[in-house]
Amino acid sequence: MSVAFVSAVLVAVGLYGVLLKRNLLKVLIGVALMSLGVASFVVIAGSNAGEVDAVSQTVGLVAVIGGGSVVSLMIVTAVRLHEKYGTLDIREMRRLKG
Amino acid sequence: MDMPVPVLLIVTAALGLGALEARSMKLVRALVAAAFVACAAAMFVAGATEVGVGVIVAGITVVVLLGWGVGRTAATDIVAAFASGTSAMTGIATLAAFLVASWLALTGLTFPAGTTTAVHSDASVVGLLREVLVVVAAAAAVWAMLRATGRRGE
Repeated sequence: MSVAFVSAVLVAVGLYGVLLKRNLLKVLIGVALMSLGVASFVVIAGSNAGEVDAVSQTVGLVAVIGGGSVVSLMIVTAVRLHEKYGTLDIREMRRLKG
Repeated sequence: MDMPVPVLLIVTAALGLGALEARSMKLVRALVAAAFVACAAAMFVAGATEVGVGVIVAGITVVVLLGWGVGRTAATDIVAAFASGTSAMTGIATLAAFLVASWLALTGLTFPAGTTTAVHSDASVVGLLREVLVVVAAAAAVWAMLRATGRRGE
């Protein structure tokens, strides 16, 4: 099995959380897992004989820090949405909007 | 690439899947923290020290904020049940298409650096099919996400 495909599996697990989970916090966990998968893919794509290219490390670092920042901001937003709607269920939020 | 790296990444994926399926949000938080640790270990083993440190920093931030969020919302995920209906089936189909497209697109990366595969050198039907699958999978993912959030047409 390709090592890069393992990263794709990690992205797929995150995508599963984004697409099929109704709890907003779990959707955000899915986003975090996707960012980890992307970062690991970039690192694996830039590695050769045990050494990782500097550009790959930089891009991977940006991916993981950017993903973590977005997820952190969205967790705060999710808490605010819970205060407004009284639920973390995204379908309930859709029903109650407006 | 050392063998422990894919093993650690599979452990990360398994821990993440466990976090998504767990009902207790405290357990979810612990599993997310473990997933970040496993991914950081994979990065360190692979030789990407900077990325490993970044994963640890991002993991601490996300886990602390997740604990704060769980404390202010609900300790148990009451909507943990598997989603059903047409949108869920679409999501599952999207995931399957994503994995198939990933497998087709990434098999070329198993060769040593500096070599080219026959698929890369020739614009074959298989190569074209691979690109089409990637585009279709991406479009299906975007469509499913828009449908799931109820923002299609806005």
